[in-house]
Amino acid sequence: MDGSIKSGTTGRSVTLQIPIFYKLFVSMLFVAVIPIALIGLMSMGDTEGIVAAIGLPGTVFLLTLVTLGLVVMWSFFLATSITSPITQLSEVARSVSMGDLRNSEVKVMTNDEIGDLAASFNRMINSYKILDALSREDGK
Amino acid sequence: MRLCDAVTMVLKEELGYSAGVFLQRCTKKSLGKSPDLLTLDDLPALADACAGAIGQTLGKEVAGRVRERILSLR
Repeated sequence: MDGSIKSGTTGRSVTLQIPIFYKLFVSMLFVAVIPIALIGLMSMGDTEGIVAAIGLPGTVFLLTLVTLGLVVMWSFFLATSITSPITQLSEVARSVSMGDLRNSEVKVMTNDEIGDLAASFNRMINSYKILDALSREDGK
Repeated sequence: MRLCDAVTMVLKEELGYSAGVFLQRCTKKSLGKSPDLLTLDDLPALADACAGAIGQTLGKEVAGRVRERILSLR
């Protein structure tokens, strides 16, 4: 991993290349900082009204709920963005390993480490198809 | 860098490991000579031949990219 965040081009569209390393790193920081940030916001703002209205346990519960909601949403987004292309790659690899070369192209949707892996996988499959075609030609 | 090495590198971008043997077959079939003897004048014919062969196996999109890249070596 080169560890860089840079813009790349895939066909006509321009995508921002953020390595998975940074996605995970930032998300861990994000999760760790949310409760502290919320407590900080509460301490800076006029929270007496909220505390008076719903009580201290209620305020803590509210903070916990907001934190939990944010963390669940962020985790779901992150997990999906990482596992979805891996699942697709895995399905294609399984069908290729069984000798089925139809629909063996993996769509490179991301421009990160998994995108690189998919591009290399496609190149490997292309190589296999070409060698297969040449050997069939020899057999004729 | 020799021209055949440059073409092989271009083909490797799409075909990977099979680029060398593919170029050899394609050059021999379309131009009737070894890849070592390729000249710049051979590139258009080679690009068409490679694109034709690749198009049958990998589709027109890959074939078009390969054709453009080979022609860009001129």
